[in-house]
Amino acid sequence: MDPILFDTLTQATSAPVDSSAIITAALVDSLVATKMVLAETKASLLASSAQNAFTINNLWMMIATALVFIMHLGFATLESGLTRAKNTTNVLFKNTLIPAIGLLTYALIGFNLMYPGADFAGGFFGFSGFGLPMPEGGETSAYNPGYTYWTDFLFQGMFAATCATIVSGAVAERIKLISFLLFSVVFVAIVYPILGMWKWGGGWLNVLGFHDFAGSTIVHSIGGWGALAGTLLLGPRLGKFEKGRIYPIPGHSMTSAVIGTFMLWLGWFGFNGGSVLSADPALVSKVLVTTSLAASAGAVFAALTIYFVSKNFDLSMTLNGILAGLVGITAGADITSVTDSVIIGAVAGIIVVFAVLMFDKLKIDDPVGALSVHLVCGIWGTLAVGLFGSKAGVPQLVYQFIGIFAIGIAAFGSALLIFLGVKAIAGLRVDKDEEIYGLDAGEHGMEAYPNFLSK
Amino acid sequence: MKKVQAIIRASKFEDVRDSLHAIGVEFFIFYEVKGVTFQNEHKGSYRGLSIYDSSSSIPRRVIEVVVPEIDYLDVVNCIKKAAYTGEVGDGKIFVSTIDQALRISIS
Repeated sequence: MDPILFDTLTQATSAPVDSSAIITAALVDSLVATKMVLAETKASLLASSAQNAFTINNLWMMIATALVFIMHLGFATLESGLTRAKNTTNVLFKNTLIPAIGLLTYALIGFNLMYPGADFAGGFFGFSGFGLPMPEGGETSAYNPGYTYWTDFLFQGMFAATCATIVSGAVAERIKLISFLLFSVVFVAIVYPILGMWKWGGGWLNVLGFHDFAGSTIVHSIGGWGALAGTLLLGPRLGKFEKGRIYPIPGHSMTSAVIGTFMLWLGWFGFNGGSVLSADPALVSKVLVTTSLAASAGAVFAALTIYFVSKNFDLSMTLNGILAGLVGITAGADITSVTDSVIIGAVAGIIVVFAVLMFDKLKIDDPVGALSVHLVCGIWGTLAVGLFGSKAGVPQLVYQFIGIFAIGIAAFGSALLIFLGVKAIAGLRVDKDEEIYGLDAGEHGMEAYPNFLSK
Repeated sequence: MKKVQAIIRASKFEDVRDSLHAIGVEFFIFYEVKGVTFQNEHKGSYRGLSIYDSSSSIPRRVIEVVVPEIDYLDVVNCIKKAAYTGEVGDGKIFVSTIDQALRISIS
């Protein structure tokens, strides 16, 4: 018992005559004290609730980071499944080194090129120094209510490597390993961060009003443009276009391709869901719904479209349809309705089939459909922001066009320059014998399936 | 000695094997082969591109049995019976004479 209250109570019993005034005073004192305690409790509760929200936000962002990370396994298995067995080690090796190179270069310069800070906002280029110097308060909600500095770096770093992975699939089965790795280093370290800064780092496209939620253009189209530059310079694989005809070169493992595609779908929950940049319950759950529905519509419509074109249910094309839907919804996953997301995914699923057929007609050889999925459907998804959802309208459509063209010219041009530079230093294409006997033997001296005789 | 070489449907392989064992053939070899016809056939498509191939779509195996001359007709009849479906493409049997047979393990 409060000693003062105890005293007053004992006094009240011993001297009942003066008790009422003393008791009133004591009650007022105790009320004031209680109020103070309550205020303190409230303040500490508010502080811990803010701390809890920050912890939960950061936790979701770290989970999303891990989900984007596993997309690299998805790319590795998908690409190896859709190429021939004799090149499997080579395809897997490229996909193994890309995330490693991507993270290292992103730590060295990429992160600071892409997010140079407010001082450089609104421009075309900014750089805030080498390495990862943690700013003051970087590990608290003062840095960002959604994540710490470290989470920010790792989440964005996982995105960066995705760009070069897209290129890897399109140039597979004929590019020299060293040439591809040289290209990847420059592309991931310099081109992707600078172009990404135009939108996500607060650059001129962001000021303009260009909308790209999780990177239909910034990640997928940039990768797609790089892939286009690579395939144009490399030329098609031997045996693809001969005697005026187009010969299919079937991939060696549909199982691997399916595993890869589902791994990518899983990763997309982090790719889009993490792009909310907090654990906002409403927005994150909505984004996961639009993402999944677009993927589903893409699968169904790609399967139907290829059936009407070639009278067979082509699994590899259906897998491309899933990815087409995912790439398509990526730009507007946060602002489109459920119905919109289904339409965007369905259109992407149809487009991707005709895009694959078109690239074949143009004699541009893309073993895994990376151009059709990431470039064509990336453009479609970016345009869809101007057609569907809360931002639909002519002005937004114009901004989207400007973004697509600006990023397209810059990404394609710089990829072309890098590839030409690499060609001058190390050459681009493996020699004919190596291509026939396989890059596994030629580039690595080891096979993915050493106990099978047939090539 | 005679060598009986039979091109059979892969789907009838188990039947032929069991019949040969039943008439006392202890050991024989087989290998997977593909037949080639004189024209390209449409064999399906991959990513919208038609696949044309001149190899026959019937999976086949070749079995080779070397037996004493006195037994070869039994073997031929046994294979003919076991590999028979009556459809076009049941296969062919070739019989040739073997000059000499040596066992590697006996010097």
